[in-house]
Amino acid sequence: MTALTILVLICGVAFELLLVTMKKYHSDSRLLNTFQEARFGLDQIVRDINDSGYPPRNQIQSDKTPLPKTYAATPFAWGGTTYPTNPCSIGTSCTTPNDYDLIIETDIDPQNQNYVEWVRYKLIGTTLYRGVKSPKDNSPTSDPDSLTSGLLVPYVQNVMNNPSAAQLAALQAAYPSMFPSGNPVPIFDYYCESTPQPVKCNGTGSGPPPTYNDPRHVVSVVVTLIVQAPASDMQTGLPLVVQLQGQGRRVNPNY
Amino acid sequence: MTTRTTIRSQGKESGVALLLALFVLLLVAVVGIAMMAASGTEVSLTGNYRSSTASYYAALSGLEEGRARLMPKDADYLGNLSPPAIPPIGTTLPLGHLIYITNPLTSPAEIVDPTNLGNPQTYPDTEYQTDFPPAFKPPSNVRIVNSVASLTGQPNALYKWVRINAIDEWAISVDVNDTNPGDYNAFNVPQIIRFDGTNLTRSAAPYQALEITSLAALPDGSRKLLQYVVGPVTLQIPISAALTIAGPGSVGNVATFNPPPGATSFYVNGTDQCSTPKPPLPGVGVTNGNDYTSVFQNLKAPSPHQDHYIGAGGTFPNVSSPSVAPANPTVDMTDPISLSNFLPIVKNGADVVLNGPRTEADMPSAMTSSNPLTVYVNGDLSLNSFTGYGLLVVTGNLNYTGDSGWKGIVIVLGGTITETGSQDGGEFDGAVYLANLTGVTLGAPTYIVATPGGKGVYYNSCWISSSLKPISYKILSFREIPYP
Repeated sequence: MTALTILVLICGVAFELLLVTMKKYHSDSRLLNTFQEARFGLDQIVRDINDSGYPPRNQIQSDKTPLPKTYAATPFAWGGTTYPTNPCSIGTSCTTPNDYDLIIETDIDPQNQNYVEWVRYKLIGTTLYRGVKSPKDNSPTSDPDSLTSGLLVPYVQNVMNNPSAAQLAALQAAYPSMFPSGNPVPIFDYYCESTPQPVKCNGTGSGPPPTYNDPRHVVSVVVTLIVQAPASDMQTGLPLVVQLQGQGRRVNPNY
Repeated sequence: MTTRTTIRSQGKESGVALLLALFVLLLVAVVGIAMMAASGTEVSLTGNYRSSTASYYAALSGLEEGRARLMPKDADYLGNLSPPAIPPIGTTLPLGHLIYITNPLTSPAEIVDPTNLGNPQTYPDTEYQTDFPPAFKPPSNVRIVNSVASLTGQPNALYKWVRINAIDEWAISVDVNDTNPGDYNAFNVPQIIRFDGTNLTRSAAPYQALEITSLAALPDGSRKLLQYVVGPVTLQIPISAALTIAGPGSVGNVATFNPPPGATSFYVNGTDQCSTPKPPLPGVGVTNGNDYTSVFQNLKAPSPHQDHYIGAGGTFPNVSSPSVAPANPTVDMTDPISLSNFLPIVKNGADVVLNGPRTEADMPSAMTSSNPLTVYVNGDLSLNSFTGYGLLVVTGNLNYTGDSGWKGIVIVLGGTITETGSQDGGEFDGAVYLANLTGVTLGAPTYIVATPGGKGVYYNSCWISSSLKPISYKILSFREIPYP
């Protein structure tokens, strides 16, 4: 009888342990899937930013007027009818690029010899969309914003960088330091050319021109992705969230 | 009966403990395995992310070694090897001639042979085969050199090889001269691509563009293949007069240039002294109206030598506010902020950097008329019976004796150039620029000439040209290439 009692106790503990572990395992699996999705997304974004502006205009003789689709007029395109001659101001007049929207102009697959593409990343709700216009429009004055908006497909889901008020409250309760001052976290943070070092593209740089909120003079983009797993932690009930950060650096010239 | 039954029951239960123990053991094992699997997956994912980034930066490190070793001022310049691995800047590396910088691991030892296309273990350069089929023909055109440690005693980043080669349109998939717009099947090959200072070109240009490709491979299998197209860049200094004196332009704070009557041999001549002359420039250039008034009044009659200041237009004394400038100047010589930003560019590209005060004894012995150098003096410089060649930038003041001179460009930003002593015969051939740069503001500059004053300043486009050597290889484009 004593042995049986001990056995039942051991089994109870073991099953409880198993249950806890299984919950933990399932939660971690979901978190890992989320992590993996976010990681792949971040990896691709950073790679596209690194390659932005390829091939630059300097690859073609200065006395020629090449087809617009054969070169990148700017590493990062902007929306509106002033592309590619009169840039908007990041943080003020730009519809894109902004904190949650970026159009990269580059030949993402030069080995396929299919011209320069516009690659757009845009957060709508809690889904980060990606769209590729291949090749980019061959008219020199087309609007990259309107021409890519219909090509967006879901890329990373449950992106919580710019959550609703209710979501933000729940996330802040679980992760107090994730949203400083209770503000949304930009996916794209832009840094512009300046001396002696790049500065945030908010018009506060010092030194000689160029101006500091000009998409043509962005030299690096810090990418932050906050992604929530589809289900909460089975043990604590708290939302499962991963935050990844990477930095893309433009190497190609900006002319 | 009772006894037998009891015995049977005890016999049936005798294996239960073992089964239960095994069962519990199984549970514990399942739990352990599940935990290990979870943490293992996490470690794996994090590791992949890290290695992807690490291989990217390792490949970038390789590209930078290749780019740095193209410059003659680099201690490990490829042209310093015996025999030189790369021809001097200004001569052409033919298509099909390759330089590989290899960087194999020493522990455990490995073989890096990018030309061995049949052996994936030696990191074959399949990309070159795509660009220039058939690759490596003849093999004698391939030069393989060793990487050098960027930090003494420390292993380099994990790039395996760096390739440097000339390019044609096919190699970069760009119709450089736009002969067949948008047609990827009509590239001009094999025709070497050059660099005109701002763009690639198939026309004649003094320098060629080069391709640098780097493969990085980490022990976990992560690989990255990155590529630059680079071209040598020279300083684009706007030369707009034989002697330019740039003041702030404010009233009462003007340039001073008043050679004494005894400066009989001192001339400033804006007529090009080169054997294939360019159009004449003003003899004396100023950058604002107040300086013009001041300098013109100083030099005109009753000064006995107003005809010593000659140049474009032919009037005496020849003083003008010039506006000749290259299309993309490195510096705006009238803008103090631009001048301030210009200094580190020169310093980084200089052959010699000296902290002043210095004298002619500190000038590099390798500097000759056939080997003009860029000399950057951070402070004052005094030259006694000395002639230099190339580009001289002095952040302080310049003092020189009348038998001294310079062939090339002289830029003095300390505010004062002083010719001293009774010697004579030295001259400045090229161009001289004088300003008084204090922080990011301009003060009043002064050019002081003694008696007899030396021969003065003569515009010479040949010496100007020879003094503006490439200071670096500029990145013209960058891309990541899939590596199989």
